[in-house]
Amino acid sequence: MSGDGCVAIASDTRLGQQYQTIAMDVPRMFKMHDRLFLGLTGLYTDTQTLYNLFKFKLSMYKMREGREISPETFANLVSSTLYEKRFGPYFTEPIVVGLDKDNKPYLCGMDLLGALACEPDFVTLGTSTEMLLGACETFYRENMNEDQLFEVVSQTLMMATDRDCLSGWGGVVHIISKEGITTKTIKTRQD
Amino acid sequence: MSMLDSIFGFVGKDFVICAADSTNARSVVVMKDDLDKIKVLDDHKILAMAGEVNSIADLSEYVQKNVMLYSLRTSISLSTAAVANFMRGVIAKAIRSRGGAFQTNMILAGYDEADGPSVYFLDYLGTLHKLNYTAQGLAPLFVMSTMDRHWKEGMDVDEAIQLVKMCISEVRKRVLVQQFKYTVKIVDKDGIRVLDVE
Repeated sequence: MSGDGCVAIASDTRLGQQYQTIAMDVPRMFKMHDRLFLGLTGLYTDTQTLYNLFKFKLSMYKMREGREISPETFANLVSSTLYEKRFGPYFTEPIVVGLDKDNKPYLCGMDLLGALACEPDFVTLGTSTEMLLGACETFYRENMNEDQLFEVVSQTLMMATDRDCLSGWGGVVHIISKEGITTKTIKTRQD
Repeated sequence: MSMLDSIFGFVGKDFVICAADSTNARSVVVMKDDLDKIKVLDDHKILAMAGEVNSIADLSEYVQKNVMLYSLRTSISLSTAAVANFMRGVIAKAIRSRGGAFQTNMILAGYDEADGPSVYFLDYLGTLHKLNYTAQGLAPLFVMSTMDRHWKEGMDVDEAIQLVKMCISEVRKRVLVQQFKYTVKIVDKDGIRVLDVE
């Protein structure tokens, strides 16, 4: 979700196989650099595979170009990487969240084949995407500051995941601003 | 995948302990009751496996030999974390390969000088996660709640054996399929030991 010169990404922390919970300390968001996060919902093995792949690709990019990748370029990289596997896709729906060079928030979600859906305000993906969407529609306001953004994102995440039996068991919120990254963990229902 | 196996493991104060049933059954027939499903990867790493017996043999030998090869070539012995990530790569590659996935879920347990004891959850898709206690196969249905209740940080060997016994009796009490014997192995700084908990 975007704010005024800041942007937030949040996820729950459950790792499960259908109704069996394996772990409750697994956030699905990865810091790609100081102003860019990648969120990977879906099949956890593909989450891990893709994170390793993008970490490698970004290291190569940084060495070649001598600079960090912009969020927009990265979103296109993720998209084309997913489309490469058009007929045997990775079962994951990624979110790319970051600040561009003018400190403007960049938000982009995509499906498992890499179809981009960039939004100015908020993007939701995962098992509780519909519930998250409703909560976002209700709480989102334009030009929120960091604290307001944190509050809205946390409440949204909690509302949605408490009503979804497959997600929850804690949450993590990252807020990216020009000063840096603030990470907060939130306590939620543990059942 | 056959889900009739029970394996579980957890970390203790300065050791890890793993238990696996030793039944090998085809359909309703028990083929043998002394199958060791806890494979030894090197001096300080064990791999408990649940699933198809051919996958168990295939994957465990492949990993064990590669770990050995790496240490012979480089004189560096791999940490438990390194082996876990290596195995994840092998398994994740296999699920999208022509040969198909390894039909086995597993628990990797090891002891490192630097990091101490660790237990990793690893399934047939390549999902890897470090945990304090975990189970695979039939076992999690019954022993996860036992371990949720009774596992504590920094348990000593006696307490750990008590917990293993509790878990085994829980499985024996509630699982329809008879599980005759259990193999229990423990890893600490001195290496791997087989325990008799019966």
